[in-house]
Amino acid sequence: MNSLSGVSILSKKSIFAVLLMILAVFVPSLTKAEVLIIVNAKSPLKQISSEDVMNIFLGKKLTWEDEKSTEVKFVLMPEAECHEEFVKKFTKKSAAQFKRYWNNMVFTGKGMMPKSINSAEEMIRFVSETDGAIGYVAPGAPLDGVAVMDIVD
Amino acid sequence: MKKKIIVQLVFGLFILTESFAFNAGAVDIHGFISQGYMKSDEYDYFVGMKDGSFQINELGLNFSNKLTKRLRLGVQFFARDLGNIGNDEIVVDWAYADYYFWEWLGLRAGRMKAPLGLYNESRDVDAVRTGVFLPQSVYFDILRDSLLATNGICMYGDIGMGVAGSLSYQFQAGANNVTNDSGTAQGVIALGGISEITSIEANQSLSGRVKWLTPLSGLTLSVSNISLDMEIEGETDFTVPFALEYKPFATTVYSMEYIWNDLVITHEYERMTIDYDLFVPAISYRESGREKLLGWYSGVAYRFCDWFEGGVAYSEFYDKADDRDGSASDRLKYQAFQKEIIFSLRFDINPNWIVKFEDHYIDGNNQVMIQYDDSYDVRRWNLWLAKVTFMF
Repeated sequence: MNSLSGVSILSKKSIFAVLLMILAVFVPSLTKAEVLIIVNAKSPLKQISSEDVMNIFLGKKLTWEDEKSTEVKFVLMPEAECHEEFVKKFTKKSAAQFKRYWNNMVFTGKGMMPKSINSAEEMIRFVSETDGAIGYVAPGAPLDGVAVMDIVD
Repeated sequence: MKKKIIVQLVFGLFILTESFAFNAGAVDIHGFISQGYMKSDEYDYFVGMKDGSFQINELGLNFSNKLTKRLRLGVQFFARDLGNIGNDEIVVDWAYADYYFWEWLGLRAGRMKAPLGLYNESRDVDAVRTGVFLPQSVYFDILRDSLLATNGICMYGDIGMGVAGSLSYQFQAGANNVTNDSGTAQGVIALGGISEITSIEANQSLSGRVKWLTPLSGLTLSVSNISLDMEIEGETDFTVPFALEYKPFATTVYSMEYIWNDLVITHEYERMTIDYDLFVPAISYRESGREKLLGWYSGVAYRFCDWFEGGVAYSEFYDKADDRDGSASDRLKYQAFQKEIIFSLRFDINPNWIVKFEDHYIDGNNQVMIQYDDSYDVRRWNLWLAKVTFMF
């Protein structure tokens, strides 16, 4: 009887351990702050759909839907912590798959390698100084000269 | 000599390149160079493989420039060697102008890779996949030259469908450039009784792919097709001229790719139909018929960490789809199929260097070319591959 109880306790412990492991995998991504999509402050567009963000960063949408059909200039920050979260959320790919996607585009002639920069400061400077620019930062970064886009789906 | 020059050029660029890419003003320059080693314990699947061979390499160098917000130009030079195919001759891999009207419509003109399956366009780019060889059941290297690229025009685009996901399409028309020493020519020689191919024309090629990004995140389904007319001339073993027409040489690939975090599951199924007409004028001999080929594979790849991923795939190929067990012909049963289990390991040493190892455990020898190896007496065999790639 005792041994059976022992098995039962062990089994409960095991289940608890598995649950903890599952939480360890998923909780960090749940508690991570969301990525902010930023554009040049002069942009007349204040909201964007997730699908448009995906198409922009996959090189499928090259112009904005404004009066001048301004050229989209998107920029990546592959070394930033929020990069993985950004590509996973908006392009449905891991960072490695996203990089492979762009290698595929470049070596089949379907696209040119996106511009990459190293820090949130550089990202904000580039977006604020460039017409049609779009990028992403983690919350908390100073947002001078840029506007945060509302995501509408 | 050409090979030496381009190798020096590329290595010169590598030295100049400190970052991921090289930018000469507005022109983006990217490139890759791969060198592999292949060894089989039984058959010369490609020439030299049985003894072990380094004749497996690729080299590409491309230049792209965005002239306006809608217009882009690019060209890639490419050389490769695979046994006695390619021999590192430099060719224009792709070169086209791309004009974007809207998200749902763009036009291209020039030489473009053909959209067949998930990987035909990138089949020479080692860096974009886990394995060394793509599964030969669907991406048979002998047929690569016929199906690789089209000189012509293309329309493409992406159409959003709201909750139903989105459709991505690409349609091309033009001519395919197939040379007398191509894998396709080797494939014709493998039919038997043919000593030399003197001319291959593939002047009418239509290809297209529709890809559906389904509402289930990460799941993509696609169907693609290439249909081309080929006119082949050559000589039989008795130096008698012959003319062979493939009208059409058509193949359809159904593809599924599912990406979940670092896991990629792939399945592709191909049906190929070849309507042929053989004419030997000297003896007024004519033979017509239809060949139906079948290939499919399923694969799983997982990226364990930033620098390591592994993959396993199972693949089957039949050169006669209606005779999969070989019972309807007088050849050995295991000459009717080729079934493979493929294990691949990929190590990303850094963002520019990749090392891969691969093992193919093979049952049957349906894809072994008779002119490469005519000893069909072993059913189960292995081939091993190792490859190093540098890209920027």
